[in-house]
Amino acid sequence: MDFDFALLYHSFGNVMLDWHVLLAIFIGVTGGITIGALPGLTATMGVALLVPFTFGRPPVESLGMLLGIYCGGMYGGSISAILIRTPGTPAAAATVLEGYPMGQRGEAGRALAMALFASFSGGMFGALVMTFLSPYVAGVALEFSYVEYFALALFGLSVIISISGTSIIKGVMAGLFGLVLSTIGMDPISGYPRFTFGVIDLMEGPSFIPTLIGLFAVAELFSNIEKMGVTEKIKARIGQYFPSLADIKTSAPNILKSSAIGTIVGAIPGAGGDIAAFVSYAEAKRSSRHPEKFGTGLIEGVAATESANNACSGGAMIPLLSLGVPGDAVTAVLLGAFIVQGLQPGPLLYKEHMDIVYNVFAAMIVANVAMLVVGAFGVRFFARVIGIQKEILIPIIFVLSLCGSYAMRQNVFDVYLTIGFGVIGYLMQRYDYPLSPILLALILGPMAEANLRRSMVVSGGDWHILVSRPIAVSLMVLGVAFMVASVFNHKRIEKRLAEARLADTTP
Amino acid sequence: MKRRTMLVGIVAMVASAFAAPAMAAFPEKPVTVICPWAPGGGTDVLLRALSKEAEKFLGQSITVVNQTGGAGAIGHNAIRAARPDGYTVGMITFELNSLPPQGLVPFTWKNFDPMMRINSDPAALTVRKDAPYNTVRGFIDYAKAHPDEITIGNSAPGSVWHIAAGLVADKTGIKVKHVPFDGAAPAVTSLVGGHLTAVAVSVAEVRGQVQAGNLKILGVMSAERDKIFPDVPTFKEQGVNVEFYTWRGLGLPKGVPPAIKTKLSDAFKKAMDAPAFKELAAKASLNLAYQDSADFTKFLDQNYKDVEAVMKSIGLAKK
Amino acid sequence: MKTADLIGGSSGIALGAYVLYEGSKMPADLIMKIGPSYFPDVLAIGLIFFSLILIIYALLGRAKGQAEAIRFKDKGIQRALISLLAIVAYAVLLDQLGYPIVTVLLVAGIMILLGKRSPLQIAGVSLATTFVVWLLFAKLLMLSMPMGILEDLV
Repeated sequence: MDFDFALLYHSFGNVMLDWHVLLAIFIGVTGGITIGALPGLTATMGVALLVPFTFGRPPVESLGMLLGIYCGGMYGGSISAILIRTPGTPAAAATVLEGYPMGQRGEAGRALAMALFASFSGGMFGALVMTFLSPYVAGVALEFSYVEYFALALFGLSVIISISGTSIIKGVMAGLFGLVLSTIGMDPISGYPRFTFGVIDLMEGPSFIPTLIGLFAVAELFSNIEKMGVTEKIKARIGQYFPSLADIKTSAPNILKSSAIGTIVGAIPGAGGDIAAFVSYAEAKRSSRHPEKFGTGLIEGVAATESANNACSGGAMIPLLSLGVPGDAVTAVLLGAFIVQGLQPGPLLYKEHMDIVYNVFAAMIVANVAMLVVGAFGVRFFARVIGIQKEILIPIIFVLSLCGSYAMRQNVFDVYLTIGFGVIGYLMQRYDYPLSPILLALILGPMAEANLRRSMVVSGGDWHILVSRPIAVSLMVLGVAFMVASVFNHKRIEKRLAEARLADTTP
Repeated sequence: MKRRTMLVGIVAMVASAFAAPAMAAFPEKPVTVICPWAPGGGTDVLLRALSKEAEKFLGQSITVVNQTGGAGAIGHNAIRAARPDGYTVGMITFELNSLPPQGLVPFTWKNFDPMMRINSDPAALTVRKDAPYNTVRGFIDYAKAHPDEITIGNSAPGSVWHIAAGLVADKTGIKVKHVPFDGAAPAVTSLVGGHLTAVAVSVAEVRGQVQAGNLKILGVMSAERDKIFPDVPTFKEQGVNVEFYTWRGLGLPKGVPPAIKTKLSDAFKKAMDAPAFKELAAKASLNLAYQDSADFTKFLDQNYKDVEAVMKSIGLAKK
Repeated sequence: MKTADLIGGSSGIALGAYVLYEGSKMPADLIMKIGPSYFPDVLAIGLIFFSLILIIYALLGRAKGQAEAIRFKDKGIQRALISLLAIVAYAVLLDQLGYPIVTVLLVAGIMILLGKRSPLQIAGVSLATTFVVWLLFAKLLMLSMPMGILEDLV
């Protein structure tokens, strides 16, 4: 397929000169950032809840708004991750690792500005790849069978060691705990209900968002309440809405690398921004010259995770548009929105509605610019949140957390779940068990198990199927290599930290 | 002083927002419709479009609430347990008949008051375009010659399409491996990528790939041919006596007064006939198949018996 | 940290043992050789293995870091426990009393717990939070919140 520059130019005209469309995109982006920033309300939910509003509206306008929510929501998730240690969307979970310590150090403004810049860069990267390389990248989706997905899940799990914090043993234990949690509910192949205690609410396992809110937000609230009066108030330095040149320079290589990782992971159906962000984080740490500083609030970390999850959006649109196969949870909902408009994404869309395809390209690029503009105004405003008195902020976050987990399924059971995981998260954190591996395990566990079992159904129980496909084998080898490298890296980090401690005590 | 005025303002706003004007006769307040499936999915989109139309005929706003989880069990349970005053209606789907035989829920369709059927979609057997057979018969002969090689993808264990594939295998005596996926879309992708032999999902779910020339439909499991693909013969025409549908409808908790039920079903029936709704259903290739309460009840009874029988034969039913 | 690690390791082993026990009751699969219990079993064995290592390290005195025991006399711990009870009560009463009432009570309660005393501020923040969150969820996103005893008012 030849690229049609004239049509792209024309499509930009359609999107930018029609104030209805432009307004729809800006509303979408603003709404998306807000929804993304609120714990419990994810980009997926935002898009899903607004699809009905697009009934009967022109396609470009509706899709523009939904794409705006998608892009805005992906960035918005980082705001609460940095300010209150709660990933607003699962994709921002990795941003907590570096973003929250930065906020606690009074650098929330700096972190938010970088998150915005990285989100924009990553989003643009993904959108440009989508615009110019779609036909070449689309094929990746079809190469992935159950065997490759199993290998991909294993590869993703190898990241656990990088995000383990001080103790690898505890990190692995947390990961295994998360994997065990992920087996709760109906078995993906036989439908047999496991570890549900006969509770219908557990039939699909502990719901992901309430679990996430419990482990991160509620656990942090408990520890905040406990330490009230002991810790001093954070003196927030705000007044920054664009990262400094020095910060951009330090982070540029990571932004580029993470954008590429994000786009590829996005293009693989079933793997979304959450996985992309964790993988990028681990890669940033592995290739860093000072890996021992990761976890203490490093700007490169925020840059890596945020560029990865926004690049994922563009990547995930590729299989949706060219194959009719959604690349992640949000695009799965977008598929419905296309169909409501009478458009069936897939090869036919390219043949019959080339104009729509190019309008989507243009809208995606414009949405990223809109995100930068709206976000820049928002940074100063959001950064002030951290300065609010804790006595007022804590109850408000409690209400948002509990209502957010309730609203997901309109189910009180999920509120109990959130509280339960809040207690577990608090205790684990107190005794140095990292929480991020649990999250990663909850995302990848079902993927690993279902695809392993699927492979076994197809092969009739013959394990050789796992080594029969080159992509799968490469992924597994890469995963093992990554794991070994992380263990060595961890040793190095410990040595350096020990030296640093020694230097501190003997002046 | 300024703060106090603000406070009074807030209190007044809160109070006025929570209290709504009262009116006479049903419905005097907004009606809630429970959707057991996630927002943005096929069922949800259908229900929201229908509710939007029905509002006009009911004269009250209708709120769609998604109570998801447990493969639809949670939403169905919420409908069953709702106050039978007509202010809670629910979307009931095929899973209401497939969960009980597996012993996963403690209720059946008999615990509901079926109001109307909205649509029913037949299953179809779809294979890759380059497969060496073009008919259901050809597929069966191939399967008999190549036992242990045939893999049929479906959307979830115990799902409607799993049962459809099981029914075909059962009736024709072929040996196949059922591969459950997490939804129909990944199964279809896997087939396009060449990692499966066939999928047994609805026509709507394979439409895009068939029109794009990647897949072909061998037969539909319905009494009549499909409207979008009139060239595809039914299973029955090809000598395999299998009919299998998924369905969606509206249901009420038991005990809603008949007068209120009539008001509700009138409004929703009129909504179904509205051109905007029909257009949306056509775009999404959903096969509208209205049945009134009495017919729907008979249909549910028969469907339940069929599903239970198939589940026993393919080993999904609880022993 | 030694005691903490011993407790942590034992909890890991207990969880692993429970998973193995439950797994043994699950049906076996004859066609693909691995059934519903396969994956949980592998994980449980892994969890038990690493828990044992943690315990051995702790016994050898190689536990890392410092841990503070939870003392129930500590003011901070008491506050955290009260807030836990408050949110459990919130969940229990959410359906009965309805969102507006319990939310106002929760926000006001936590504020008092954390040392706020100005009635005006408490009333203002709790009412405003309740209203804004409700506006956001119920009106903008159309996610209904339970109204409980206020149901018939709406």
